[in-house]
Amino acid sequence: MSFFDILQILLQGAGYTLLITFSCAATALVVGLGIAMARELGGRWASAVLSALVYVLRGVPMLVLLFIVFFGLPGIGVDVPPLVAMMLSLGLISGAYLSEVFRGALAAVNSNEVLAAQSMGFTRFQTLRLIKIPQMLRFSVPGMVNELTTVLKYSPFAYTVGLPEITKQAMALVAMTMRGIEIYAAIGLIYFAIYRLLLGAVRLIEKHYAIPGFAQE
Amino acid sequence: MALLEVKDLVKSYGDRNVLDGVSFDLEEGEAKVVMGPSGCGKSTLLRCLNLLIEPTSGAILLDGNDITRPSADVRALRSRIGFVFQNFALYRHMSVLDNVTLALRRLKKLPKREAEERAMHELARMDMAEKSDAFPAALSGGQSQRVAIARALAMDPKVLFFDEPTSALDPIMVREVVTLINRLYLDNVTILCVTHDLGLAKHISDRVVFLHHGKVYAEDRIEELLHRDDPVLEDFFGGED
Amino acid sequence: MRRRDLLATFALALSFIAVGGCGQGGETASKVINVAVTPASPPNLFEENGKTQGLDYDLFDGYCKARGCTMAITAYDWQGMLGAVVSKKADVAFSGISITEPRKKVMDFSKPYMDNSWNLVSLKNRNIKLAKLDTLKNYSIGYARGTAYTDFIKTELEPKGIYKVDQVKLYPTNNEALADLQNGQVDMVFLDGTVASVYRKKLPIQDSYVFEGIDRLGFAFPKGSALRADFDKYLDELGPEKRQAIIDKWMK
Repeated sequence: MSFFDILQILLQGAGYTLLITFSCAATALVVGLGIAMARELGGRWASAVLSALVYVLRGVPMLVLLFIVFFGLPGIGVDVPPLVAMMLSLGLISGAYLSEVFRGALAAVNSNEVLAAQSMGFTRFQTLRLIKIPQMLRFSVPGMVNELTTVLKYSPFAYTVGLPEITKQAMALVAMTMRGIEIYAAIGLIYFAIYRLLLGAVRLIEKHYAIPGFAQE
Repeated sequence: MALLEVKDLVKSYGDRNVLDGVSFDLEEGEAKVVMGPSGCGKSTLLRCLNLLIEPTSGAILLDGNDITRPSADVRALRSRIGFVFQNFALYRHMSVLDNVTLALRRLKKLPKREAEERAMHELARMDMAEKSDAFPAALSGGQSQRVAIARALAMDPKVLFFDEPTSALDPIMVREVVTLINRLYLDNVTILCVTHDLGLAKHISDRVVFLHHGKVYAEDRIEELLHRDDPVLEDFFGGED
Repeated sequence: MRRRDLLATFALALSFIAVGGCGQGGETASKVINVAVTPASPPNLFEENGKTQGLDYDLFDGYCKARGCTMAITAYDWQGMLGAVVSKKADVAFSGISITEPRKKVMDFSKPYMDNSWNLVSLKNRNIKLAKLDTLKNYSIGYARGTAYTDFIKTELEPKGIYKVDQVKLYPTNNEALADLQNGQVDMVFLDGTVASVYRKKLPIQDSYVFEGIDRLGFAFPKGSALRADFDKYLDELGPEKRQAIIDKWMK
């Protein structure tokens, strides 16, 4: 079996790796935005609850949460498929981290612009949606890229709940061929390639939404 | 009945009264300037008038309705007052045109074409029509302020508030903005302007409301105040003519 | 225009969630059996050229052909596989699983289908052969997490002072344990006799000590599973000779 054959077999898992990464990243985005918006609009009580939630989620090891969701929940009658289990663990935790990124980015929005919007008669929600969030998202790009990379690197945990991504292919292959070094090197290459691909995609999106001279203050 | 009536407005922070019983009126078509030394409360006053800051006590009547009452519709009130800030406060992530049409489309629910027509009309009035596709970062201070004024005018407000409109501009830009506000003044737009720029006061107001320690110290035409024999006024204006 | 793009991105994100959520947890038709395996235990269960195969696979495949059902196979890592059957996500699990008392508390096993030895293997060139177990404590032992050796060491070897559980080096899978063996980082690796028989052909290793007659392999089912009784019945129907023939085919 040549190195090329090894790559081919490993790449069969790459589709799942991408699916897991995108699904968890999408969940994280929705969760992060939801938390950030709820904190902005909600009262003190909501803020306190959400802060506690974020605190807990940032402290829980992802694998532990994954196991609780996938293996533990059936005990109380809640059965989730493996990808959803990943989204509810990796996605939730990543969402918590993202909400903190967004919180910082929201603080960077010019308060004068917010005042101007309020002076025109916009509601808090409208101000959030039309002024704060568009700016917040642009400020958050480095933080979001960070989280995306982290999600990619945690995707191998999906194998523990039965998703046949790249790491699963690797383990089966190593068991048969005992060529550990080559196989792990090949995985490293593939993950790096996926990482560059994702980065390229993010750059494209960033370019499309770039505002000339936006970050200058 | 005046368009805007302020009666005994008080705003205190703790035991400090920033506004200590301010009263004045603004008739429709009138232009008044609020001046005074730093800390006299003039910015606070303006922000109380559109309830960005909540007054401690007193009444503010717009068209005879007391807007300090809890039942007042604050948002409707605000869309009837145009507010121009010292730092322009243009939305950085939107083009000039979008800045002006945003409120028209979202608050007045105008369709896109109509909103853009009105926006272009106001921008043209401020000599900023060719820059409609530019972004705020590309504009000079004077240009930004002109867009800000157009944005406020587009909503067809009953009164325009200016909060130190020229303080962030260099002298050349100050002149261009003063010229434009003057044009509005001559068009009988109702104006309330907070400033410490004497030139602006001379060009755009009928009377000046002089605040001192949170109270209306004097209210008169600018020429009168300049020549009045009063230590506080002389201290502020410093023998200007 | 930009707000539309933001909405589109949101919709895309939500659709990922929807797609991710659906299409995964469908109800099993009465004739599809959810199988959990770890394809890293040759010759019981492994993957070659994308095909799941092995001794255990043949046995269960025979059952399915006899009963007219089909297998839906999901690959897990070792502990995930055991977890799957405990939490009833899988109807059956097999990959050379040893029947042990702790495991019996959380899952039901079929009748034992083959005897297994536990082999301590080491590099040939080190020439470690233990006639008796007393010198075992001078060597470092490693093996995969979640396997039955831990319990064996705790209940059988520790009381006799032969070895202690905290001396053991744990690895994610057999692969890593064997890699360390080859690097000289660990002296001996615990392997199932079945697995050792395969790796002896691929790696320069030999048995240093073999524990015979203490381990038996079984098919794992969730507690209270009706499938288990039926599978046991099948094993009886198959008969010992045919079963041995399958075993011999893979163990030669």
